Amino acid sequence: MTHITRPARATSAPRPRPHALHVVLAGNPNAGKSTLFNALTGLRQHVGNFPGVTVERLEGGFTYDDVPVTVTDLPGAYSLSPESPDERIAVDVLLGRAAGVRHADVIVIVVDADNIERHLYFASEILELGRPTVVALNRMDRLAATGTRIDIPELIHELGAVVVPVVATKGEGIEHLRRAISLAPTLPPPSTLVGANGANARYAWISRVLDACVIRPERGARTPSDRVDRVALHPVTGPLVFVGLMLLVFQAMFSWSRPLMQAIQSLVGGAGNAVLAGLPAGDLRSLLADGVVAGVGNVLVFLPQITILFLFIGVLEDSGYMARAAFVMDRFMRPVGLHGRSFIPLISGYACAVPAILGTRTIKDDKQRLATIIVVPMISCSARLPVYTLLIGAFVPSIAVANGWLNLQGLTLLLMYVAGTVGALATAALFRQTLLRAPTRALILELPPYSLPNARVIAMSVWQRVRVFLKRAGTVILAASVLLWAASHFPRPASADSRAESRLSQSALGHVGHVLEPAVRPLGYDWKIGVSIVSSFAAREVFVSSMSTIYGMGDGSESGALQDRLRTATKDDGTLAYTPLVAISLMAFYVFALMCTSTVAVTFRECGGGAKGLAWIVLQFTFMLALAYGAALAVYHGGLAAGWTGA
Amino acid sequence: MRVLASLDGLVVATAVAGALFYFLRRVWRSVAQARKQHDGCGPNCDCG
Repeated sequence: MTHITRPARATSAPRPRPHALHVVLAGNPNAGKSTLFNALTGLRQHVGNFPGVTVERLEGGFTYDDVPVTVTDLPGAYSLSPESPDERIAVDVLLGRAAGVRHADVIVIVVDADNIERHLYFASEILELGRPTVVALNRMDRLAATGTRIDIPELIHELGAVVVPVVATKGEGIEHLRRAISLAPTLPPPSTLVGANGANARYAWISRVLDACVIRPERGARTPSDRVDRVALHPVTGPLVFVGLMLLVFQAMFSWSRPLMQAIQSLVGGAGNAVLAGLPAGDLRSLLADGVVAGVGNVLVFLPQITILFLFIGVLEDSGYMARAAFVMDRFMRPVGLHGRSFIPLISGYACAVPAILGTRTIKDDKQRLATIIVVPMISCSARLPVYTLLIGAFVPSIAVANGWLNLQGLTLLLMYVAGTVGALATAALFRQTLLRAPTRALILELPPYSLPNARVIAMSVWQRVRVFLKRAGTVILAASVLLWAASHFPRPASADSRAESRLSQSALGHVGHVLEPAVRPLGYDWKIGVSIVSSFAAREVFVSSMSTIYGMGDGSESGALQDRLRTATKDDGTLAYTPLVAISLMAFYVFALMCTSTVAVTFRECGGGAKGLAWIVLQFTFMLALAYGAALAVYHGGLAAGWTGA
Repeated sequence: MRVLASLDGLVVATAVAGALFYFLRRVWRSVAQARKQHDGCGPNCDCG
């Protein structure tokens, strides 16, 4: 596989090797740049199978022959004429005009061998920049599977640049690529290829190059991907397949995770008991048992569900299905004025709104992009999952429905996700008909062939999300739990009444809660729920920590899991604080409320910052809060009107 | 653990002050980050 020969066009004298190299990875979206970046540098980032994942500039490095090499992964682009913000970043770096980015010593063009015809357009433009360049011909394994062959020496001759065949997912050819990169500055740069301006001339040149270099098999019957796509992309069966897969995901999240969740619950309970047994009664024991162990532990319980969710998302991405889902969903997104490319940020929103909002940079039209930014936080992110799961587990019975095919708990969870998605689409329609009115652009999307998911890629993707979750549990959730504990214990009550309920009511948290109570009472909530909602603005999972801290009061005298405590908790008037109706109303609130400081910050920035950014976040926050309050109010009073006391 | 318990008040006050400091620093960083134009959420983000 070594093809680091001197290109035929090379005529000038070799140049000396530099002491350090800065390399940029460029190429079309979905060429496999992110995977190649990981393979080259050992660093990890999320790798998707559909266009548009790489938005941020990422850097890594390696050393070859004692020369340190810095690698920058650029966003994908189709040509040197950028249309979207992320393409502009890539082109600015390639042309050496990006502020704060070192001029590249070597450009590595990543070309998908399986899509060489399309990818050579951008590649030829980059080669004509006359800079030291290496062409990494990626996914050679897929090419082999189709029976197509590429004459590499001939391609080197045609391009006038070093070409290295690689399979980034398997690490094949990476050492040769490293060597080629280290040698590239010593070789003469490529010269003009096409020799004429215009897209037609460039495509004519590509056609001639392919005729000379690519040997294709006789076009036979449909490929396996084509056969699967007849069902997966069909106007009727396509959406059914999509809904079926989503149902499977949410069912699995409940049924598969149960044993692991119970095991973590036991560990948390054991840790709490150990603290109670090992320390004398006092503030420290209470802080550790009711604040730290209860607050952090009850959030950690949801780790198995988050792992399963991202396992499925990883499999769907890496198998190539996610791009099909974007295509299928485009039919439903176009009527509400969203672009098919909006689907990718929306799907990312199921993980976290922050990278999803950054992902909107791939959307070329400003108004479509703004509409997507506004609605992304309505997609239920992983931080909402602990809230949903806590309430569903406590108040929705685990009974079989649809002749035993489905479980009511899984179905309720799916309903929350559907409600958020429908709310997002309806809001997009509203904004696109009013403030952000403009025609919708057509969707052009590459559909990669289906492939067996790579276990390593999926494992890394899942681990990244798990790591983020654990990091949050050890930082934000821990700090919030400590502060909530302090707010629920101080100031000390003036009266001699030492009952936990009375102490809580007279604490700082109690005072805040009582101030908030008139606002949340119409929703059926008491002040404890109100204060938990407000505290969850730091991070949504803090709602669970707040509940644990508030209902953990009593110096360990209360026992049982948090869900059991919620089921029996009472308001000040002695009635049940939580009923299934209140729980569903609360979930409806969390579906739509923008309770996330990180999302607010990134929206501000991505909407332009300054007064413009401020105006958009005020609008977004107010709109979502009103929607959340309205939804919770409608659920609660609708339920009561229907005669559902919910008790 | 029993040694810690004897320092009850001091440990609790330190933990609460630490948590408060963490949140103030987080807010400060969020504001600073929002003012930057090109930085974003890389592979090590904790945006969750």
